[in-house]
Amino acid sequence: MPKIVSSVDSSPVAGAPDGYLRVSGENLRQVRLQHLLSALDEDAPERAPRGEGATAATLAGFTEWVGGRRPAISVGWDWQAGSVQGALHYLRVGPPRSNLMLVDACGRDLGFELTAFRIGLWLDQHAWQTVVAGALSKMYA
Amino acid sequence: MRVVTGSQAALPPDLYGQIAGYRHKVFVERLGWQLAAHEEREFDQFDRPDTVYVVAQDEDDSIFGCARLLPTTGDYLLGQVFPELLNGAPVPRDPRVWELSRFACTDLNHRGIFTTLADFPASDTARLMREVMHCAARHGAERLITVTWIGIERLLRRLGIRAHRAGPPVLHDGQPIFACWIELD
Repeated sequence: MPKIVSSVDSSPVAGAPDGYLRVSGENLRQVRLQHLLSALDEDAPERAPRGEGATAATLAGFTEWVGGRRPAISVGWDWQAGSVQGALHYLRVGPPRSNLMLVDACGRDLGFELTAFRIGLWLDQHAWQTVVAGALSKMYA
Repeated sequence: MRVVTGSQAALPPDLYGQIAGYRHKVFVERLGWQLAAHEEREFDQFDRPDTVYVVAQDEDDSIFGCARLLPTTGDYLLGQVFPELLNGAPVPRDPRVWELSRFACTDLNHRGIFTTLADFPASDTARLMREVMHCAARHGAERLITVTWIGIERLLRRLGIRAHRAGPPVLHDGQPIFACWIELD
């Protein structure tokens, strides 16, 4: 994962009336995320393939990460585990949730949806799956 | 589902007492929260004359959902008890920000409210949440803030509601909680 230290001069400031921490895309890329917690959902029957007399178990849950200094950046997302060529692979499901609002070079908000989309793209560059898998192994062993 | 809203003084006679009884059953008896209670009724210092209640009743007038709304211009739960969840931001003191608390939607007669995440958007819980948001907006709120669990943020986003956390979750009684902003678009 990227290990660049965030810039002190461009740290987000808490206290905006809408509760968002405003960060540029460039500053976001400098944030180092640390795993906070991950957990399994109870079996999600609506996602499970059904068969005669049986329903396949679905492995799904969420994960929470934190980055930066106070105020902390908080990002979480849902995941689902599927088999890829016989190996269990974790996939992000849906847009991430965060306390961030990305801004453009002029300081204008990108908006709720685009911010989530861009953060999702950034997360997909991180090797979070192994961290989540490890955390779940410890928790449910 | 019928929804009634108002302050204690504006609610129909006896309804506030029924709300307190419902909250005791849900939060104290079922969820095991350590809350002040008197004669199987749950209420605290944030149940004030300016508190607004949203109550869901069935066709038999039984309560199966409730919520409490407080203006942040006075004392409220997050500001008094959980300010650390604001991630260093000052406690909101704004007539456009209201706090949502004691939200519950569970049928004590054991009828299903919603059984899967896929059912949630059409559920009574979702309908009650929308009623809460409409009620808050009628009182001048532009956004809500609430102390809640991670799962609630996930559910709100499934409804298409613009909800976002103020900061990272914090463990409280073994459960990760956080302060969640809800935009009233």
